[in-house]
Amino acid sequence: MDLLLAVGRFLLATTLLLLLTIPTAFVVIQMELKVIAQMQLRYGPNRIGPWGMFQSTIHGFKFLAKEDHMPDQADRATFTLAPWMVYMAAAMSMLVIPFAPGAIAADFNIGIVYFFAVIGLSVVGLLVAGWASYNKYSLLGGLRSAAQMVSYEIPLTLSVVGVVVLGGTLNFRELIGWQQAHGWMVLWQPIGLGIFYIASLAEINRTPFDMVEADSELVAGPFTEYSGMRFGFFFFAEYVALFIMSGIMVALFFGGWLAPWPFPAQLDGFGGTLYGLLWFFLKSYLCVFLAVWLRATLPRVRVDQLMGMAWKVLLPLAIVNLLVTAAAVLVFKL
Amino acid sequence: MWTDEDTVEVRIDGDRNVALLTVLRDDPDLSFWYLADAAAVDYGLGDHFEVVYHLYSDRHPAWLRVRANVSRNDPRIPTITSLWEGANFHEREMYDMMGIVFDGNRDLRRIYMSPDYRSFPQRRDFLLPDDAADSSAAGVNPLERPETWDLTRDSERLADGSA
Amino acid sequence: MTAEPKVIDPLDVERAEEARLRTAAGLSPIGRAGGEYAGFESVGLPDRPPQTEREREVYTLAEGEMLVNMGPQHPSTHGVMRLVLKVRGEVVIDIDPVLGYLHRGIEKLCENATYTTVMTYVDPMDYLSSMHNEHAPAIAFEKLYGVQAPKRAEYIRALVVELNRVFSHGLMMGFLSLDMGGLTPILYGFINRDEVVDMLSAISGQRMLFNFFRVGGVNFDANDEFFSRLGTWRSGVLKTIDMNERILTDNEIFRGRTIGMGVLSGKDAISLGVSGPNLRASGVAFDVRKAHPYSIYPELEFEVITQSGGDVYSRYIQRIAELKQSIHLIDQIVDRMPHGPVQAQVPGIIRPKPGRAYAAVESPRGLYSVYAISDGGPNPYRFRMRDPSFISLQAIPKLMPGHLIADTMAVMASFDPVMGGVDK
Repeated sequence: MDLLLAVGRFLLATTLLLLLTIPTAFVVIQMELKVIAQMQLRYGPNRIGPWGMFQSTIHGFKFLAKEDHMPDQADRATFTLAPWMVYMAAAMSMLVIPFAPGAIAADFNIGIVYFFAVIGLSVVGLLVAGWASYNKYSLLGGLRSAAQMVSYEIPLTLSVVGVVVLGGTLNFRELIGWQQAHGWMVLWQPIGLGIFYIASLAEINRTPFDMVEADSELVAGPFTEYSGMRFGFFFFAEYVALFIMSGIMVALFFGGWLAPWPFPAQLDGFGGTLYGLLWFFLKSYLCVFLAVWLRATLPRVRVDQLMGMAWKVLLPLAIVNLLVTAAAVLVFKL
Repeated sequence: MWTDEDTVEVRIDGDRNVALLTVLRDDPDLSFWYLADAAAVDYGLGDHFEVVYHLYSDRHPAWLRVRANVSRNDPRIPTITSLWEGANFHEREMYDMMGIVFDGNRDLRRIYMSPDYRSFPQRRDFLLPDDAADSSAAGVNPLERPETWDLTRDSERLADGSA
Repeated sequence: MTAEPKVIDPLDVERAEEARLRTAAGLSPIGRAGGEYAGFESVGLPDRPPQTEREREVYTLAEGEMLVNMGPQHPSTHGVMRLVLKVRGEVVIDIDPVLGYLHRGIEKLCENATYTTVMTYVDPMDYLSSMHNEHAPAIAFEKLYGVQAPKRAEYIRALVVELNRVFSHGLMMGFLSLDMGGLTPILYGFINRDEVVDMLSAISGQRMLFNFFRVGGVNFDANDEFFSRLGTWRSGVLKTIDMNERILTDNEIFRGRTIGMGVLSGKDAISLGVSGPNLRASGVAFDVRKAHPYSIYPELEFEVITQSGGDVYSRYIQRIAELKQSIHLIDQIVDRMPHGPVQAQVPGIIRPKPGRAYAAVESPRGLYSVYAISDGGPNPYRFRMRDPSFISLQAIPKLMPGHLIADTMAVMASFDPVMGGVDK
């Protein structure tokens, strides 16, 4: 009986999550359209729905309605598989996001490890997309993106190791519990936060690190030959990944579902779940807003400067951060 | 505003252009260091071409215009890209539009028209319909190929019964 | 059909000779792609051997090199131009610009147009600085005809020309940033342009291709709406420009991508014929408004600004400095504007005496000049325009080798070419 309940609960959670990814993408895309527009002193979409709310939904339907063609010499299987890989990486990583107390789809003991393992699968998807398109620009773009994402995964995970060393656990729920007891992690690991933020932007190919899809350079990188819903998968996966990374950053550094002082940090029962959800989404969307703000403001970093920054700046900084954290934990018996 | 004497003109034969321009550029009293323009003029069939250079010097208040005579039958003139590299595009344009060949220019290709264009548009005797038959797209469109036109009259077709 | 003698291309004669020699030597008379000229089919060139030494240099591929088209359809803004890049990995080895996609034959068209109609033909050349495009022919035709524009007309001319310079330089900031991925400054540039263009439409009736200058003056007088818009704009513009440029000038990413990039030395710039802000950013103090003064510029006080860097960042800073200088010039012009007529008494169709005239103005892109020959009739005999973007483009193949593909756009944008002018 317990097993049945657990399986049923898991299926419900995963279904809800899969259904949740698309609306999340819609909301994030809508935010980007409107926020960037306001920063550029213009209105943004304001015709579809009140205040143009349904513009991104219409974008979604537009992708469905477009012609889906494939280059003749492209490899059919991998060409079709690539968008799924990227999308699945994003969707699977949503399993461990701590939305609220009692609202984590999969409360793994190694949640953090699982997350970073799965989010790295999107690299494979991009590489496959670049290769399967039978187009030298796509190939170049795919290789560039693979290099970028792989390089930035290292500082990303190293910065998280610092958090884990302090928190003493790889479980998201317990980490948030630690933060409730000791204060938000941002107070303990500010440098870790900085490294994590920059590396996460590079992981999901957001400006200023969006060389992959640089639309004022050659062409659209690995996505050149994709159209219709295939491209839609890539497109939505990118914005879902943006939300996911923001969510994880909030969970790791900003207390997850905990409310800041002077609000009560956590409530009980179903009301507590709603309360936690509210604060979690509020904080994640603030981080998404920050990423969108950066996109509106900053120009792109050049590819060699990007790689140089990953290996020569972020990596040493992350290692030093980790060493100092570990030493502090040993010395002060935290 | 402009003043009456703001250009000084010099007319030379085409072959002497490099020598004259070198002196104009390098002599410290003259020091015409900036090539402002290089243009070509066609004076009509039976007459000559002219390659006109305009130079600037900060020691002299007026522009210097050097008009180099080029014969229409054999329109060749030495290149000045050895003096000013920026003359390359000027000369390519003059070749493209007028058909003047610059000896010694390493890159004398057409710049505006397509590489297999066969006429020189800015000449005074340039006629468009003649030239279309020579263009690279001639004959690609069946409408341009007379042998593909079906010239049977409707009355003939009706008489045949194939209408 | 008339029986005109066919035009024989003298270079064709040479190539026929070469083909004959090649056949005699046992080679194929024209090379086949895939054999000798392997790079051609991948960039969409016809199956033919390189015609010139330089073309052979660019299109011969060594080991590991690849030809990549930055095709006529750019996501970037400058217009239709094709750059064939020879790259090894990400590093650009050589560039061949292919022009002519926007060629409209304006010079030839003007030979069949009256002197006043020429003003409408030259507008869409360098469409972001239409007033300058008209200023040069206006001066040239006035020299040919022997008429002076009245003082007030000259002041209005200088005023609209400086306004045009302001918005053109403001747009360049936007283009430079857009080519590097920063989405916002171009919209700020367009907001500024919108205000200026509303002003210019109040005085000339058009928002973009102004058709404002006439031989002997300008078409309309400055009216109240123009001055009221000018006042409103002027009171806020310096603050707005500062705010807009702050997003880029101190931006680490922008500076990292532009400082030290595409360095053009002064000597190279002079040799290549580069002019305008590009030349002055390389340290050469050549400004046509000071070098060979025209219009009322002798009466205005301004200095020739130069920068010493010669890189992309210097060209950007140079244009911002010139923008602010133009605003100060506008102040002076408005202060001193006299009353009077705005057009000299000139007949509808002008027939100047036979002669030649050369007139050069300082456009936002450089030295823009017109060489006009009149034969006494109503149409110019030869109307030649020298566009600065056309000549500045020659600097790109000299500057780019050794940089990355991503920098090509930055360097191109820093020269601020406008394809309408390049292709005429």
